[in-house]
Amino acid sequence: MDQAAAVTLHVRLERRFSGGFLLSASLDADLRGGAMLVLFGPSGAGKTTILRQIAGLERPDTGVVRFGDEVWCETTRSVWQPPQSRGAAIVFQEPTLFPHLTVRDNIRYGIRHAVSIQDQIQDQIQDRILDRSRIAVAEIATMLGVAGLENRYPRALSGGEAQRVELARALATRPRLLLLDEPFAALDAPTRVRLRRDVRSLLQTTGTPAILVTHDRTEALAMGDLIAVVIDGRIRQVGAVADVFTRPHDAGVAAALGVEAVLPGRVVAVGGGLVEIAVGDIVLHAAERESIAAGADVYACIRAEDVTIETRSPGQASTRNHLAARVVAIATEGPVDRVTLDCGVALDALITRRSREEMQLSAGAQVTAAVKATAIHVVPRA
Amino acid sequence: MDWTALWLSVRLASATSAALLVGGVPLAYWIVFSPRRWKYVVEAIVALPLVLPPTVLGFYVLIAIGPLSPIGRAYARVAGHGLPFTFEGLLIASMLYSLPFAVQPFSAEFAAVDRRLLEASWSLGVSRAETFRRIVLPLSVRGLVTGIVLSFAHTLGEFGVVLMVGGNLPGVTRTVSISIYDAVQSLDYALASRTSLVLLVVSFAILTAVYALQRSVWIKPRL
Repeated sequence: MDQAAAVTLHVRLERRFSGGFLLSASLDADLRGGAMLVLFGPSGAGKTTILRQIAGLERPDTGVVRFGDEVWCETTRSVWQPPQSRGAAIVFQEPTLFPHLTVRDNIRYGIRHAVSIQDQIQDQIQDRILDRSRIAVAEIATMLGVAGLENRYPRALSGGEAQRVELARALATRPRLLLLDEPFAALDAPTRVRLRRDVRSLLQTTGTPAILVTHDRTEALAMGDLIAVVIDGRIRQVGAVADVFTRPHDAGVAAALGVEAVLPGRVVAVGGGLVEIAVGDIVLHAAERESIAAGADVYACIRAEDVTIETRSPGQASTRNHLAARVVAIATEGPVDRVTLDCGVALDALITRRSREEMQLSAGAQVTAAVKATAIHVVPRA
Repeated sequence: MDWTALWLSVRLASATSAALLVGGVPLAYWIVFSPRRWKYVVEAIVALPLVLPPTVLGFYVLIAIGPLSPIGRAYARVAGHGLPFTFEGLLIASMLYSLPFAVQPFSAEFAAVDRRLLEASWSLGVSRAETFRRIVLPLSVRGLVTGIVLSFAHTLGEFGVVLMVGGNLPGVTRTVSISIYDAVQSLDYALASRTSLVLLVVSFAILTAVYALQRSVWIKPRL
């Protein structure tokens, strides 16, 4: 795949359901170079329905789906491409391996359709296709860590293995777009983390763009390049993951994402139970909860409740992070005040009104923002 | 023991089951997967032989394939003889008579295949027809076998329809159940009881096999 060429996904969908639920999704995303778009939102928001319409498994009442220069659906011109001709393989939450086929036959199930028609008509086709699929199966099974399971039937696989085979089956067809409908949700935590990492590196190696449906914000942060926030059947915000998390358009989006600052950074050092993370020009110290290697790309997530403000230099304290900050704005949120700080990166602090009055804080004031190392949640990029 | 009649019945039942496999699978596929709203009408027509008296069904088939109908005339022109009172005519009548016994097990099994398997297959680029061949059919083996066996057994025991459409020509249309009727009419109870016993044993064996199949004695159920 040409890395430089834009692979744009253009979606305008409208569908009214009998219960009165209205899905009205509008989305433009550039998925070049194997980028992953996360459809994020609470359960029942319509994420899966959007995915199924992109896959061609459901039709909108009105709408358009374009991928690259292909029109997959355009209701006003009665254009409809069935799922077979979209090249968008889908992976569901529960494994849907074909129970009567071995792992090998499952993985190569769709392969011969990826071979061009021209090749298929030539003679000796059968041999060549089989040969090619044998190589492809071995290759893809190794990449997904299911080599050695080829002769098993699906019922003899664990949940994690089944989902790996499912991904192998989808990737073996060399899809133009991979659609993932909460594929890790049914797995146990260690398996989930490993599989996320493997899938993301595989997608980047093969340059396969993907759309991932999830309601798990850690997963969204770990896997996503772009994120679309889906609430009540609408896509409320689309953008780069860090941008959307840091600058939600409105309170609804902020609530769906969780009120945390999400700061993209890189681990510069690990030691003594602490992870040192460079975020822009500043360095944060976070408690090391899981093993992270130096050089890893991470998000440092900080809740506004965990940020304290100091007006004079403190004595010896347990707080690891002290950042010189300028007060940008102060807003009242019920009984507490939200203080927006600029400390090289944007950070919010929630403080009581009395504290604010005692410190006589106002916009423009120079302060110190303090964050305990244990309050910084580090999410490694998968 | 009327071996001629028994052999004729077995041939008729085999031909009927084979024909219903060929014709019933597409029909069951259409009933399960067609988006048409009015397909319940077709389902009702398929189920009609379950409740219709065999004489009524036989009467309409006789009219439909007789020399007064376009179908009957067209067949007579091509074949040189009419359909009533022939093996072919009997085959057509038997297919209609046993239609629900094949199509209903087929469609029940097709409908039980997890739809997500089909969607996964489609999204992997495999056409609907090929998805049906490679996924639905292999997963529906039990339903297919059940339908074939039931329609075989049902055809073996048919009486009213045969009498209406086929008459009673030895070796051509005199099936085993008509042979039993004839034996009783001529007070040959010994012959009737021998033939009846054979039918009873065969029918019982077939039904035992079908129910064993449903309980997955031989074919493992799908996951």
